[in-house]
Amino acid sequence: MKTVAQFVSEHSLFKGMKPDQVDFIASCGQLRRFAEGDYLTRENDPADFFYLLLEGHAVIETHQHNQPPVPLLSLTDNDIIGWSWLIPPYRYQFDARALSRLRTVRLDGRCIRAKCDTDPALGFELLKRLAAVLVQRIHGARFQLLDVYSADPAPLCRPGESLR
Amino acid sequence: MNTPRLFTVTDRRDEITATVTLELQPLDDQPLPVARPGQFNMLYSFGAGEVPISLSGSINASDSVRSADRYTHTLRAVGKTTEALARLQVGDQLGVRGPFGRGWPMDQLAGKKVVVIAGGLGLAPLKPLLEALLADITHYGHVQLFYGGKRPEELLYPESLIHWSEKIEVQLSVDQAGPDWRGHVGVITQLLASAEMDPDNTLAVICGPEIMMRFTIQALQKQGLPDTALYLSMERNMHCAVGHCGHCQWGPHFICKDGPVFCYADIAPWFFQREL
Ligand SMILES: Cc1cc2nc3c(=O)[nH]c(=O)nc-3n(C[C@H](O)[C@H](O)[C@H](O)COP(=O)(O)OP(=O)(O)OC[C@H]3O[C@@H](n4cnc5c(N)ncnc54)[C@H](O)[C@@H]3O)c2cc1C
Ligand code: FES
Repeated sequence: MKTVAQFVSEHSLFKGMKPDQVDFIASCGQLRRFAEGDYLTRENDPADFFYLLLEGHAVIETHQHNQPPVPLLSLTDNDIIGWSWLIPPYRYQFDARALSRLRTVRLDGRCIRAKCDTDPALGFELLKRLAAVLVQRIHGARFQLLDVYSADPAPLCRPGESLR
Repeated sequence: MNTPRLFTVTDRRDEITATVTLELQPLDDQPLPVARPGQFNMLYSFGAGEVPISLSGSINASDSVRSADRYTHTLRAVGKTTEALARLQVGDQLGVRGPFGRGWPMDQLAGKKVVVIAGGLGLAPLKPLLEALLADITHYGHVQLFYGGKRPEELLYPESLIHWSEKIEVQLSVDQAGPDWRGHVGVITQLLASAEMDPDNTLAVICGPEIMMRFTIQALQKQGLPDTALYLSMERNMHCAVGHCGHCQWGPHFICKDGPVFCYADIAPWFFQREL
């Protein structure tokens, strides 16, 4: 059975980090399993944790009154769930739900924040890595907004209209 | 090949919004020339105009896209000519020239792992390729299809997608979905980044909007695939379709004659140039 430190060091977010930094981060972590349908985060709850997804599928979603949840982004092995632990007021912005059985490392954001405050080298290294993932997510969101797949149909063809 | 042949519409299916599939048969009963996956025909709607449309039909030989004596085309009404074509009904007539151009590199795919990446309507020119791969699957290594669209109901050929997923790995990605959608929500490049690929033994074939192809190429390069392993289908306005008029010139290439399918290594210098 692998240790938390092994999972952390093998996760893409931490690959290549110094062993003492990995050990420290792992000391803030616990292995956590989720069943399909479980929530990892709930909008507006205190954002004390974030998750390294080791295996399984999850979805980030939001909700509207009396409507089913709206899926925003699918996540799977090697992804990260949760940023709100990093930025005040430390409350989750979205729900994250397991779509299958999940294996994760749950990292305690408060523990990592406290350490980063006293160890700027670790803090900077971690921020660079998190920023790279965030930039990828922003690029993805822009691409989704571009709506590249729907060339405007001809003016006479309204969505859903038959061309007969 | 330069004068349109008269064809009649023998079948017509509504697909996604403003998009139809037409099956076309020649009126002269002469055999159709051999057509290969990735090639296109010029479809002429009388009184409206002539446009290039890829073959999207099923195959009846290892690398031909003839469905017996018919061509199949899937087209979206985006302007005057495509709208006129999309309104054709069974029994209506149209002119057809072709098939033209260089198609997908079927010979080079043999023995390789094949990653097929389609966006939106870009699945249409890849359908004959997928059907050729499936008809002869033992000739190829692992085949994966990544297909991205706006919403689940905007994905082409839903029945074929189910059928293909029984034989090859099919990963679907949409920008927006409802709660019942079990596929991926996000961007196709995210799926590619987390996919397992064997860069030394894989060829990727890509067809979709140009922006999507630019991001896809970058994701595949990050996976370690060399430029020589990436093939994509390009679109530009066309007129003669045989390399005479220069309408489709793109850098030193004529898309109608040297393409529409290109190896990325051959076109990389032009691919990111905005003014072309
Ligand atoms: C090799 C090749 C293969 C093609 N295969 C297919 C196919 O299988 N199915 C299919 O539906 N189309 C395909 N196309 C695109 C098709 O040829 C064009 O949509 C068509 O030429 C538009 O002509 P039009 O007279 O209807 O519209 P136009 O009056 O020329 O244009 C009307 C509007 O549509 C926009 N438009 C023009 N071309 C495109 C385009 N390619 N994509 C999105 N918007 C466009 C224009 O900017 C304009 O706003 C292919 C093009 C090429 C070069
Ligand atoms: S369309 Fe005339 S040269 Fe290509």
